[in-house]
Amino acid sequence: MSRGSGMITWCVFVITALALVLSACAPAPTPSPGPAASPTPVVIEKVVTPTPVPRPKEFVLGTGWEVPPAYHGNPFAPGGVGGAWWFVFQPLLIYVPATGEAIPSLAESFQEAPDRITFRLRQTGWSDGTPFTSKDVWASFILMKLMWNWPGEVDRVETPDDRTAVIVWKQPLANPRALISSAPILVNMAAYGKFAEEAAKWLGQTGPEAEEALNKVRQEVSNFKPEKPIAIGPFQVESVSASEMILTKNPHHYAANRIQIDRIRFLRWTSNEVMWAFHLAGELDASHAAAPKDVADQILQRQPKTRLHLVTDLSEFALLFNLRKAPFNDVRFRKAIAYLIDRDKVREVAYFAGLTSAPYSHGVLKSFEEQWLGKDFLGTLTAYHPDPAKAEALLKELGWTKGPDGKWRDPAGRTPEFEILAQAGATDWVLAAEAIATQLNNQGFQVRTRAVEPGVYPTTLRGGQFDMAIQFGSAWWGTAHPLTGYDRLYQGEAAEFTGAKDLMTAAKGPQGEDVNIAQALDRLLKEPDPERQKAIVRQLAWITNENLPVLSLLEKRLMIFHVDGVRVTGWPAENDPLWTVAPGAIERFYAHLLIEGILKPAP
Amino acid sequence: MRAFLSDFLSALRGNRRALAGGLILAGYLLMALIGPELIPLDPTMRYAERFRPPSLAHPLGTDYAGRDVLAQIVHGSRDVLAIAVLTALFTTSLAVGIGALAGYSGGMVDAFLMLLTNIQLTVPAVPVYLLIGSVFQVRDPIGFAALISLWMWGPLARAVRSQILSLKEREFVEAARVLGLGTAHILLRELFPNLTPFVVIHFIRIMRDAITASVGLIFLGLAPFSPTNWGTMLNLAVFQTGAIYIPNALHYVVAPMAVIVLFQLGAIFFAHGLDEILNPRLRAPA
Repeated sequence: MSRGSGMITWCVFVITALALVLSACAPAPTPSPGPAASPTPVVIEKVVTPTPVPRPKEFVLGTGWEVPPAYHGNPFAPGGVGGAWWFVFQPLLIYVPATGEAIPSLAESFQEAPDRITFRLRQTGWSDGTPFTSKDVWASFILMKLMWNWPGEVDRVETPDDRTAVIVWKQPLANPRALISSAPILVNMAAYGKFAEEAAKWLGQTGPEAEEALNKVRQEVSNFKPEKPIAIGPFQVESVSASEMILTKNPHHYAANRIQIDRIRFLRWTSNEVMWAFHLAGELDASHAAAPKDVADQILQRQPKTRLHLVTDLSEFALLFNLRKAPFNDVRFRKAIAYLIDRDKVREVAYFAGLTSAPYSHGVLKSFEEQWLGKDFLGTLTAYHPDPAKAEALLKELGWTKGPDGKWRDPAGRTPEFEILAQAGATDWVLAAEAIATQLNNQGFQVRTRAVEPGVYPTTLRGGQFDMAIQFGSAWWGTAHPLTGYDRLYQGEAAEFTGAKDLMTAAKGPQGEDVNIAQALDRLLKEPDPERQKAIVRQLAWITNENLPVLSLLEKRLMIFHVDGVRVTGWPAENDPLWTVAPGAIERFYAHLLIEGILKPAP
Repeated sequence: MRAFLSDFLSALRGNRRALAGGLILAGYLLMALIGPELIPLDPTMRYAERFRPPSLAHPLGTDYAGRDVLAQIVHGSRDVLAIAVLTALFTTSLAVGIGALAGYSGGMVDAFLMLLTNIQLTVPAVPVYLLIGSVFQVRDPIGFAALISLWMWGPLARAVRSQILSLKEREFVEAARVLGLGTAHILLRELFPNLTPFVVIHFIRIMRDAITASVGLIFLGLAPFSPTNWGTMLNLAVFQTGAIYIPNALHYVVAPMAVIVLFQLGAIFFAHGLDEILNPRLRAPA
């Protein structure tokens, strides 16, 4: 083809494309009356007014699930149930962290003793029509122990009669209500009884024979894949596709008549951005998709009936130090880093809805600081306000010097490069890492950020292949109690990441006393008296703040976008403590609102 | 050589597509070489100044943390182009070496090298990158480019082998063999010059692919997260900071997108133009 003909073809193509675009922009043609082609009169025999199809009273949410055919209804097998979890399963009681109150749920009442809770069960039914009995409670806890080795605090479940279940603890617990609230009843005897009975024979026994028998039951449970879950909760799974999951009312549920919503429609939550788009389009009634401030403002502006409620997620983002590695193994270096970071600026960029942890890093969530520590005690802690002079003094004490180029040099005269790891895809963590790296670079360090693929992030941290990393620090999920946070920092996942599990087994307390951390945690676990619990928490808070295994950045608050007056109405008031049921299992909160008739169809 | 360059430049001037592509790429090269000296980068985060629209102080506006977008693009160009060029260099060298050796030697050598090539073509790159990334840490553009090149050479190696298979049967190669010239001479002096246009075009295409691949590797965590990498900027704009949903932040989405698109366009124009210039069958009759 010659160059000239090429140009002509190009011009023709451009003109054609323009013509197509312009024609697409033209208003749609309106049907013209046209000439009266036939004068023949038309006799209308009957005017049929179409009966409007009643709009289903639905509640639209976002969640995740396995796409069929992988989807199944076994809560114990990988990939089962998905986000329908807290609508199809229900706990015996609902714990409200803000007040410490426990609201009876599948139990109509309960009595607490130091070593047990006795539940009087409601007369309700599973979606397959079988009645709910205490044996179902027993089977659920047996299978939780078998499959998840959780909850370890439960010694046994006794079933004196069909409507009474007694949960007996191995030892008195600091907060048993929160534990029960996070353990829904999952299975009935009719479908899962054979597995539970077989498991019960072997649980608690040791030796190769018991292990083999338990593994066999585990395998059998994992292979059992009913098409849909058998629901004891207020809703049952009606249909599941790649884009939507529909739940309808469980007709056998005790509150079926009270629940005014006919169905729950779940839109598939693949990422926060997708949820933002759904909110902007008015497609969702609620979600907790964390959003930057400007996106949140856009949603509230474009959908005026949308509200945003912030409630603690019972967790904090933190900068984890690798305690196995120099110079992070020296508390003075960690303190210097703490003095160089303006944590409120990190919060602004990374997670504006959070509560900055500054100036402390004591492991008690900011929202609960007053309740557990109090102002007087806080005054005894080191406050890490941004203070480059203090950081410089600490670094010089360690033998670090600042070169003529403004870069810090270690005692060997090298200018080390550090990395802050963050989990790729975790927007807020990546931004936090980037914000901290920028601040440290401005202060003369050479710090880079690396985003690590989620599948390998925990392994990388556990393997100690990092200098600093962004992760959850103290987290109180499930219990809303500082014990869970300290357990995480000194014995749990965060401790495995930082190395504190092996390297921080003991420390000096506020009075200079030697504190064995494992023993302190055990005392806290077994201490039912709130005042004595506070004393132990303060000791641990002091150790955490003065030793900085992690630097707390901010307390994460759930951003609950909820629409009032489009499809549903009746959300709790801003200051209602019920909102604090949301962290850890927001669908449990929604389900509770529906069961109690608080949330109802919009008029 | 001088005559070749003179012919080449003259042909380039006559091919508007190649000229436009060449100018675009030259512009990028200039930006990478002298841009950072002219436009300083202040990484300080100023949240109150986020998503400021383009102005004299910030010709491309500011990002989610109130930093100048133009400065980020200019400073990012150095790393982006270094990775692109180095990747293209490593990949091309590896691919030409393997393809030429396989095509010319034939027999067992060919079978073995093509087996390697087929493995590279069939095994997905991501798990391999993850495996390598877990052993070696990428710290500079050379390591980064080497990592990308490691699983990118297959298609070109196969194409080079085909070219060699075709070329080695030609009369001029037969003549060289009859004259008793060695393998090295035949490969380097007879065959490679005929491959040059083909390789140059692929070199530019690989540069383009390297930019895309580098973004992927940054997000796999196999390379340091670089906030001024254009791909990272785009990712931050679209996914992480939600700028795509914020009307007054569109400049932040468009700016990195535009530089990437323009670079790709320049690379495509230049590669196609070169193809027309260097391939006698495509050259317009004088």
